[in-house]
Amino acid sequence: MTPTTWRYRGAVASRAVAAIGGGYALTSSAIALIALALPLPRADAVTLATLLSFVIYTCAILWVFATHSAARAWAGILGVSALLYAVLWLVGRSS
Amino acid sequence: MNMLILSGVALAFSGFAAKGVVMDRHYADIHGRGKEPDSAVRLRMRLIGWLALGLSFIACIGASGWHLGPVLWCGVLSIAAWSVTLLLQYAPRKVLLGAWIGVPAALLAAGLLLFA
Amino acid sequence: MKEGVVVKEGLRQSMSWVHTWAGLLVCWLLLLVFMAGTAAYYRHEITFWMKPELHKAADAPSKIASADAAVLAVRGLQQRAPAASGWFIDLPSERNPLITASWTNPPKKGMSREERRNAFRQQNFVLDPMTGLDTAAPRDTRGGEFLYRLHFDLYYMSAIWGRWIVGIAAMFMLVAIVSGVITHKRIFKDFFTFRPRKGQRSWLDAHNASAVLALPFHLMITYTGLVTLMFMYMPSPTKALYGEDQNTMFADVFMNVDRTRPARVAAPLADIAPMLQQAERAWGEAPTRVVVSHPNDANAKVELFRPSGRQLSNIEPSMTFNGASGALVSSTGPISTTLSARAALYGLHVAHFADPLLRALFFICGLAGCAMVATGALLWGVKERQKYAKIVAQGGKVGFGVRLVDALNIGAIAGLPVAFAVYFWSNRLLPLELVERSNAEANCFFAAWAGCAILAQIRPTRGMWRFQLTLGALLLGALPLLNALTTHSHLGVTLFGGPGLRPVAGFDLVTLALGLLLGWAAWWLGRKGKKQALAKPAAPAAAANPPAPLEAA
Repeated sequence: MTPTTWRYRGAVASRAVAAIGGGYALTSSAIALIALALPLPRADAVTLATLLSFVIYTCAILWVFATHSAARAWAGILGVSALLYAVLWLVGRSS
Repeated sequence: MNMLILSGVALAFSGFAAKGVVMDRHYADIHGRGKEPDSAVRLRMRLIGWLALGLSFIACIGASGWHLGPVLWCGVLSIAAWSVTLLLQYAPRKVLLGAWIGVPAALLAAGLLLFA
Repeated sequence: MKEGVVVKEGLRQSMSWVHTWAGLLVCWLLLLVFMAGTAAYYRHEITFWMKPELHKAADAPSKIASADAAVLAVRGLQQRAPAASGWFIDLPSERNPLITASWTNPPKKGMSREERRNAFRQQNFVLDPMTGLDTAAPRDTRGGEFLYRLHFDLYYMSAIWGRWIVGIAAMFMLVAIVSGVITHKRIFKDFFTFRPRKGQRSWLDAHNASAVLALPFHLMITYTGLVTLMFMYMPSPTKALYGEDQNTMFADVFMNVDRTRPARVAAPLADIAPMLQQAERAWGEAPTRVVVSHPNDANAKVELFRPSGRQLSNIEPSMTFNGASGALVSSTGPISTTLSARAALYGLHVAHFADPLLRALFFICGLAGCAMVATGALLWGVKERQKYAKIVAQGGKVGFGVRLVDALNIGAIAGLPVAFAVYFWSNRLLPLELVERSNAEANCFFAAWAGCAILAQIRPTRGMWRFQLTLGALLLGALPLLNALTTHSHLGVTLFGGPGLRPVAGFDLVTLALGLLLGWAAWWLGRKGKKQALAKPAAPAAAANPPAPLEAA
């Protein structure tokens, strides 16, 4: 029986934001890194990285909803995104 | 080429039919409640099913090449699967009969591929 | 979803929840996208049906050589637009039996978007390949292009908005598909299972059959749909490697940008026939499209395109000639694996290949996609309704959610076919000289849909289902009759005429078949209602008074 408490609804909304918004941020940073890392000509790297984006995004969204709790979901999304953006920033600095 | 595609469809139908009739639910529909297929029969029919599906793939490649052939095969599989599904529901015994179409289809496909 | 509790079935359950909500939130929009997109596979044929003035010219007894057709087109273009910045010629092919030519003028400053669009619409003509003369002027209609654009640009809004909305819906759908596969416990055991007349289980079986048995198609079409606009949806790699220079990225990836500038020195365009003959010798088949950049200029370029059909990539191989001298400049060079993969994915979505059988298979799978979305939405309604079974039996009403979903289902599943039919009816019935006629046709589509949707919200009952399904059945099924009454290219002519008229016959037959299908659905609903009414003992007056809602099937 699905509980219709506010607490449940809050958890659902929280996961939705983590999945849709956080997932997009994670995907964006991941594919930018992939594009920079691929040893291919620019056009190919951009194309391949962008092609992979929807796979990564889907996996992120599904993971957010499959994982134990909304808190865990946020921790994962924020943690990985932060790491990826940090690496991106470092790469940007060094080039 | 169209004959080849037709044989591809027939082979896919035959393959799915072979796999379908040894599934518990459908076997019971055909032979009576509670009946289960013998494990040797089940294995044999499944292998025949896979073989027919494989031949269907080859027929589609032969008909449309390596690029469009697999795409064609996916469409052929869907049509065959829907046909077998409807037949298993509305005329389960005819499915057994219908599965035999794979034999002439395989011969036709082989002939077209090797000699045409 | 279990908060903080580990359950073995946890993944299946959470994926089931995701599948339900990802699907339910966008299913009605997806129905529009899927129906219009499926129709778009035959957009050329639909446009042709909607321009009956062209039918006579298309019923040609024989074919002319591509080179001759191109010469006719060039002559027409020289007369009409010698100073255009570009000429576009479509030569007769399997899907288009006439010669179509259009041109673009260099952009004039200060033209509004509407002015530019109107100018664009008038800058074309159609030639009869047999006589070389203009065909009768076709009526102002967007034809199948309206449906094609509708499925990703939507309407009544800027294209960017439409593409974002459809893209988000497509992402929801991708998540729904993947979560659906994960949550489907008996995906192999139930592969061939279809049990009619078992209520909720039958809807589930129908949903599974339409979804799983065409899963490669559904997965492909959703993913490739996102791929077609992927640089817009996911711009970060472009930003990382190209910075703000998006144009260079597009030029690199799509390789179809015309980079030559006009020399502003007049030079007559070389004879085009030898160029086509040279291409035909090189390819073994004649070109189907000719693009002339900067005609009658010293820097003119003539690009000939080969019919795309053998490979998945939608990038048509081409040969480029110097427009003034007629000399071959270049042919399509090799393209990297990654870029050709992207083009292949694009090609798969658009189904650019001309093979009629393959196209028909795509169309059928598209219809299966519509069935998948529809049965999913109906299944949710049936399941939710069961929670209210006791309340309803005592004369109460179902919850707000169920009523809303019922109404939306009727409006989309039964109302959309009505809208499509009305669009085609408007094409035959609207006066030819009507101003903005093509917009009027589009407005008819939406007016019909809005009418159905509003009626459905007012009375979301089984009676409304039957009414709208019957309306759709009559409107679609009567299209061949309407065709016979309003044009000369009815089934009596098209079934026995030349190959050029076959698309018209095909259109008539397919709409007839779809009409029969809807009619059968309406009839089946009526029979089911009668059966249930007979099975119920004399119901108390209180339960019989409110309009009989769609009972738990």
